[in-house]
Amino acid sequence: MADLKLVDVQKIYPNGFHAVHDFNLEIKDKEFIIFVGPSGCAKSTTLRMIAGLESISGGEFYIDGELMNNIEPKDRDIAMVFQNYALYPHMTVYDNMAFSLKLRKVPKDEIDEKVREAAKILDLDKLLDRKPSQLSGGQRQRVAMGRAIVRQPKVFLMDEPLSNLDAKLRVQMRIEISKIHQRLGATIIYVTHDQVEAMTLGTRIVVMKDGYIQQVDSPKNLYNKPCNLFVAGFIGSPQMNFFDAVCKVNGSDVILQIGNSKFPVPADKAKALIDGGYDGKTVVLGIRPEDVREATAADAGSTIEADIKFYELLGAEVYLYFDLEGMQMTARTPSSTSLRQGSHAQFALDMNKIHVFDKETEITITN
Amino acid sequence: MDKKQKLEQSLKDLKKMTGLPLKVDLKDDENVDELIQGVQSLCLAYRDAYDKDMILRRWLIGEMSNDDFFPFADRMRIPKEAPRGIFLISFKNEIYSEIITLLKQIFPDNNSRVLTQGKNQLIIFYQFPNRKPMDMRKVAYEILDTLNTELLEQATISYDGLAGHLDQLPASYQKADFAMRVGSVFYPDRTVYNYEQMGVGSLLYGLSKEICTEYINCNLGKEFLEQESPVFQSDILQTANCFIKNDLNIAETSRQLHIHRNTLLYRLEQIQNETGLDIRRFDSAMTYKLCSMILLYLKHL
Repeated sequence: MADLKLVDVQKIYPNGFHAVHDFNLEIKDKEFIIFVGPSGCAKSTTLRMIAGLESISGGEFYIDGELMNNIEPKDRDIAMVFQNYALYPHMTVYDNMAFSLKLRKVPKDEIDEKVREAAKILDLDKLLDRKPSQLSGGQRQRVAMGRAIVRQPKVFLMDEPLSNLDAKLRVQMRIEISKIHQRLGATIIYVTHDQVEAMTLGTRIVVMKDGYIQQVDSPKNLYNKPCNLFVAGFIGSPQMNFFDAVCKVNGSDVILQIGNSKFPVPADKAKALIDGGYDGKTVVLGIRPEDVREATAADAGSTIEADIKFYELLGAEVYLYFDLEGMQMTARTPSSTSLRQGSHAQFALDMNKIHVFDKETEITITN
Repeated sequence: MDKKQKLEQSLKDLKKMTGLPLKVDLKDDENVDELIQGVQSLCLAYRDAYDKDMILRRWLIGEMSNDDFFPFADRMRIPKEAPRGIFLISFKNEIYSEIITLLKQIFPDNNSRVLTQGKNQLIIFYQFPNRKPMDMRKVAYEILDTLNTELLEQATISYDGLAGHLDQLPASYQKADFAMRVGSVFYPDRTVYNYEQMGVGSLLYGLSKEICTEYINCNLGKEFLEQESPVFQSDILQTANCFIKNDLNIAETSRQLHIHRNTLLYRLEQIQNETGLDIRRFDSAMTYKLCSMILLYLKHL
């Protein structure tokens, strides 16, 4: 398969729209890389530049050390899968998968070998004689992927391939794609706006916003060590809770004060706040819903008192929604909790798990 | 190829097209050129009169009136009432046979046609299967995504709304063509153009060079026509566009562009110093936006 390298890649359209800024990324052979971000963050544009479907305005793009900037898309040895796939309605699954090879005048026996091999990988080998109308949504999606797999390219590019499927099918297909990656051992670049898809599929994730890379990291690191407020808020569901807090330093001790509640900061995080000169300044405190728990006697003085506004039972766990200083806060607790909508409760924060951000730059202070 | 072979080829083409064999008794080479020309003219005349795709194309692009076309449509059993749409596809490179073959497989139904329009464009005369109208946008993306997936071809696609009657289709083609032209000038970052969503670009596209020049002269000054100003280029232009898009909100724009508030203010001041337009005010922002689009348009005129 292939190593990819993007160096200072830019996309500027003739109307002045600067879609992609200084995109730098190295992708190793067999990696499953995810481009994730909200709509309009230029993740698809970047993918299309890699494919050659958009020209590169600045910077360099290499596959296996070879400069690709001016190479025609069909000569880049890549294959793409999109969300709006159209299967040829009058052709069988076999013919749908074979069609692009036929167009390329590949010999018949070679086509047959490649189609059957791809069908096996996709568990479509028993459906090769069926027409698209006789297939389920998931099977159709697999045929669409089969059309890319038969080409045996160096790199697979997938642009929101699951976006048109319903929620249940998306979960099934996520697992399928993961299996396909393992079986093919291919380099895959996958674009999605869905952070759950990103977290479950990727070996590394590129979080993008407004044409800029925000962070490139493993799913675990993105979740535990977000580099800024945007990444912290984008990754994780329910979203991380954010509050303005005043940083107060007393010697080597630091507390974060939200209203009348005071929260002592652990030593390692306190040091970053002291070194950064945040004494007396307002910072943004972030904490994930699973790190907000019901308070015990040991938490006295460092608790939040609140009335539960909403209670959401998800089976094994419960989301509790309440207000703190005018901001909505979410706690994720086991379903064994006795708290219900309208209950008055005290919550404590796991201060070892907090994230503190600079209010102006929105960059993480404490990682 | 010598003249005799050329003549034989032309006769073969004529037979293939019309099904009629024509025998030529050639006694000497003297009139061969005339004969070849005559047979080729017959081919052309036949194509103009009977080739379904050719006639459909001529009618759609306005080379044939409805009065001339409808008898042909009756003869070819093209129903007048059916949900249809016109898609115009423009390719970066010249069209080759595999592209047409691919599109014909997407629309295998004989009621839809793939028509060539010059070297880089195709018209899709699309009749919705089972007469069930669907979302034109969805079909447009399916066409584009399939072209990208199977052939990795760079293309853009334009369309107008759904047409219920045959006589609406030439107008649909004209609108799709207009959307394609407007889109390629003002919205090169898009690949799908819907005539109904071309915004202010469709208004500006109809303006003459004189009116555009006059507007720039009055609002900016002659020098902006003579040389490109940095305040209508890349970074500053994007900053201004983002600022306008965010309802002239400084905090949101600097956040979105990842620049400091002071950098944003400096760029806005640069625009004011160069153009006299303080785009923190709505009317100046609108003038700047129109000027930037008109300057872009003037490059294409």
